[in-house]
Amino acid sequence: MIRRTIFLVFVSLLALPLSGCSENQSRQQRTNDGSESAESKPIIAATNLALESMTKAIVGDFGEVIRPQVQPDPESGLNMDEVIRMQRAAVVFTNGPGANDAPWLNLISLNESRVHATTKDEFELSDFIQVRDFYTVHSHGDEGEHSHPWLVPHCWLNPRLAKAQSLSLLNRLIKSFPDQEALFRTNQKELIEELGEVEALAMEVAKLLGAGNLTVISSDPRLLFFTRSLKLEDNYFLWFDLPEPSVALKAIQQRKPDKGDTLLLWAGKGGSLKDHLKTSAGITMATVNLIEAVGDETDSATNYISKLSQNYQTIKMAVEGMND
Amino acid sequence: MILCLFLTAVLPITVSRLLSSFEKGIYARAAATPAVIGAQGSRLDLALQSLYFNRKLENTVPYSEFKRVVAIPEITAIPIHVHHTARGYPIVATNNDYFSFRSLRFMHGRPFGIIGECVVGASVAGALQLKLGHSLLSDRPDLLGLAGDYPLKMTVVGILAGRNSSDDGAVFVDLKTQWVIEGLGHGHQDLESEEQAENVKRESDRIVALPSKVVPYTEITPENLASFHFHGSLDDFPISAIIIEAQDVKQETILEAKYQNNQRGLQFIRPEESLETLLSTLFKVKRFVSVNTWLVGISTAMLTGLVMLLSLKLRQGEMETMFKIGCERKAIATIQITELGIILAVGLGLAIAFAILLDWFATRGLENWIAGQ
Repeated sequence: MIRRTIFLVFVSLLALPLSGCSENQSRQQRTNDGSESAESKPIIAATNLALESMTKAIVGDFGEVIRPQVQPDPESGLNMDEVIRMQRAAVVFTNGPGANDAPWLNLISLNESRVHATTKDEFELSDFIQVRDFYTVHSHGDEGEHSHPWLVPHCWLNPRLAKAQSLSLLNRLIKSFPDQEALFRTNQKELIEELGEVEALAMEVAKLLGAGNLTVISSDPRLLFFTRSLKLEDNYFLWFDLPEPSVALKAIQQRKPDKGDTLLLWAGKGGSLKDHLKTSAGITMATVNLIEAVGDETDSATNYISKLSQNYQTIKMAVEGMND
Repeated sequence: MILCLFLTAVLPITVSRLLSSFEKGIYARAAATPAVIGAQGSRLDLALQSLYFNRKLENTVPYSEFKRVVAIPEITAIPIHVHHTARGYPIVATNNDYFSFRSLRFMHGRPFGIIGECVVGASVAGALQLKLGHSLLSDRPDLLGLAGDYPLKMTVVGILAGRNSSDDGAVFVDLKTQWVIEGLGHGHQDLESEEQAENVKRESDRIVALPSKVVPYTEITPENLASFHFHGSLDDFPISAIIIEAQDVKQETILEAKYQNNQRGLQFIRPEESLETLLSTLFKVKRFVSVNTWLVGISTAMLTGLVMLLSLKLRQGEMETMFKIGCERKAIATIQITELGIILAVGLGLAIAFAILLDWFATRGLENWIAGQ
């Protein structure tokens, strides 16, 4: 009896250290702060709505896709919880230096190996849009006054480039999660088909615009990716600092042809200037969603592709209305 | 007799033990750092800086080199840049991968999230009485410098648990924070804002900051964070070294081959091999001590034997008496062997205990001494 008891105690003591090797431990993963955390879906971060939407479409339920609302301005500040979540992301998708949509990334501690520039490998140099007639002129330190040309970040307004970005997303996701390659490829194929439909719609609208012999003026250079997707010449009249209504009206009049109709594309939300021009310029106006965020613009579309599609539908309806 | 044995044994045992501990410690850190890429120059300096943060390297590596390496899928690359100090402790600029690479655990707080934040090692936190939310100023590299780089006031957001390594005595920041300290990036104050009204004097055509209101340091706050920016391309900014961990030897060798006789002024080193240079001197001392230990051991054994023989001769009468009163010769021999055993055990035991105690206190100090050389 005593021998059996001693044996049981001995076996229990031996089993004690092995109890740590439970299933829970194998499910734990190491985070970048060196701490252990319970396994959950991998976090994938994206810096703009288009990348977030396309990433969600590719990864499906496999990962959690986040888009931190990081804006380093004094009013909203940086949300540290979002910054920390983004630091824990397996990959952070951003546009890239040629179409920099997130200059605030320079203020955050992110590991270079996890940041993936989606425009870097898939875009041709000619795909980037440099606004040469506008320079960010500033002066600081010993360098004196100097300027930089502005590169338009809104490449997501062009479905052809979105397709290229989706390929970049796919390649990086496969590299990070090779065992999910089949799922990602299937989902990306569907995404490409959806973007292909939007691209076909864009071609249709481009033909309509060409057939109607219309002059299209856009409000500012943020729409250049969109207007180029419609095979239109660059023709904008404003910058972000809105001018006096009379100045804006004069700028439109200068661009308006003597004959034929003019369509004014307005970037994003309206305002008093938009309302003023709508009534006084005597031209047809269509609002183009810049697709910068969810819910900040009044439209019925809920995701990136439907918003992109709605932009072309808006132009189509406006042109058809003008033809009637 | 016990004291004699203790004094004879304590030196070789202590030295041997100290050197073994040190060898183990220094090689463990070097072995955990398989390879390092840095600017051409002293391989030992590069190894010591990437392991112990104690050297300021003359030449640096452009950040673009790190981006080039980190893009290789089979390679884990961690940048290291050590150029400034904060209250005398080295500021180690890196990224958050460093903490998991060295298996460093956070006692309090979290890794740095934005520029201007820092994580301090356990020794730094203890010595400077730092807690989360406290501030730490970087040291001015040159007090007489006319350019007058302003120190950066950093916020402590994390305190590491002690590891008895050089990480305990370091202040960790993001690379971009270090570049702000170096003056490669800066922010601007909006002097026209209402908050600045008390700090400025409005003249006819300009706004002048009042000298008494100018703070002698830079601080990154939520209010001025957005104004911080870098001049020039980050790709050209300096880092001291790149720590490399390859998935396998093949990948490491391929990478090493790329850096052999390269024209970019870079070198690929294995810290373990580089430290051999430093350690070979120390191990010459160890070899000398080993030989000395044998010689001293032999002479001590001979001396002990002589003392025992003399002791036996002196106690011969005592033994005879014991025999005559009925004690067996075997029992007498056992008593004498036991006496000798107790003397040897106590003398050597004390020496070993002393060596262990000294080792426990001295290992850290010795490692620091090496790091300081």
